[in-house]
Amino acid sequence: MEILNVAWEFIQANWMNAIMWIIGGILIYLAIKKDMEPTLLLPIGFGAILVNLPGSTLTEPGQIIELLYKSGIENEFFPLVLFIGIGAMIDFGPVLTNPKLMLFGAAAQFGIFFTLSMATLVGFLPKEAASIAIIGAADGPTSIVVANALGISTNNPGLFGAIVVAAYSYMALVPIVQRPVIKLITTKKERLIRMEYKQQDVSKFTRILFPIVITAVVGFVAPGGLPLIGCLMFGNLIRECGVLNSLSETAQKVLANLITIFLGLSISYTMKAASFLQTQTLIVLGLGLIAFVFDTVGGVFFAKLINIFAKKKINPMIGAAGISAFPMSARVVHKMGQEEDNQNFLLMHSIGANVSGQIASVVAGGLILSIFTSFPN
Amino acid sequence: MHGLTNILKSGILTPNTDNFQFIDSLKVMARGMLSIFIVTAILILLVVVLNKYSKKKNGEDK
Repeated sequence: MEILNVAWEFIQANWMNAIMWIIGGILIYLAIKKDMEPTLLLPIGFGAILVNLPGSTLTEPGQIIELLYKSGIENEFFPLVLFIGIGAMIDFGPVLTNPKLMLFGAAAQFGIFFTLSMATLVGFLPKEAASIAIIGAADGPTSIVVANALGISTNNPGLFGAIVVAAYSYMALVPIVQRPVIKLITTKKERLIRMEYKQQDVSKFTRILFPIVITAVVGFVAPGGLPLIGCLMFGNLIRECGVLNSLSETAQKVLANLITIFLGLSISYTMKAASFLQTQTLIVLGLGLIAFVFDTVGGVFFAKLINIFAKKKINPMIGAAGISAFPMSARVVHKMGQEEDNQNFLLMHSIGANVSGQIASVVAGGLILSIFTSFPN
Repeated sequence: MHGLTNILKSGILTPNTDNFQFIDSLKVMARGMLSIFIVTAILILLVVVLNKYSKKKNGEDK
């Protein structure tokens, strides 16, 4: 009887922690068994268990999770340095060959602004709504930087944790989220549209100047996005310049992997049960799904709009690849095209739209910051 | 494009910072998408110019 009383007291004191252990376990399962964004979901999942064990002091001042969070997330150091690695991984060749594909990257940011409206309707404050909306950027570092710059990580850490978990989870779920949406809003005839690809060389001159020009333009238009676009394009420049191969390789592999380990663990600082397990977390997960769905809708419908006027029809699925989840979205679109017609090769077009989505999502993040930074709450 | 940038400058799409309502979020939506498309158009133009200049330079070098 005594043991039962002790057990019941333990359960009463720790049931919320137990839920976080289950959530952590689910993230680890998805990472390992389903191979869904394992580089981030595994450390986030493990960290969620770590910080919610009874007597855990890891989030207290001076302890490792708190130190990682303060040194890398609060000052945006980790996501920005990660962007250097991501920039070094990206080949903008398909976009430079066919720059019109950038329009699909732009259109596929619609979900961000649609979700902003929905979050406002639900009752979130402007900065909270903007931070939730940026899940639609389909980019972890952008979500972290924008939400942090808008003060959400300090004013509402539970919301910040939910935003980051939602962003990375839905990025991993792109193949599951996008497929039914694309099938619902396109006809079989549209999905069968073939697109020619002509291999064209892009000069080294263009490849080197491109990151510099992008940084300058975005810096002028959306200065709030300058840290993100600057780091992304710096990474790309060290890749394309041709004289820094060892730095490029380090950025792509060692640097990116190292920062990913620290980033994943430090996110767990915001996943203490008391702050994470609130109704707002469920609402954020729902709004995050809406963001991804309407990103897809925005891109596809833009492609359909172009087809009204274009002589050479575009396969509207290319629009869906404008979401920034690289390269999963591009692969989903290419695979769906192949399923309808195995002679239809959409990969180079979808990759072009996908990488341009990376640029557009950063521009969107910068715009959100420039609009909402001056808001009182 | 001139007309689109004038819309942005006119203030029609400027949201109310003190009392942000649903209608303001729609203004942000319109403003945001317009801005993104304008920036994208500028970037496309720059890439086209870069490609043309590069082709011309390669042609001269040959």
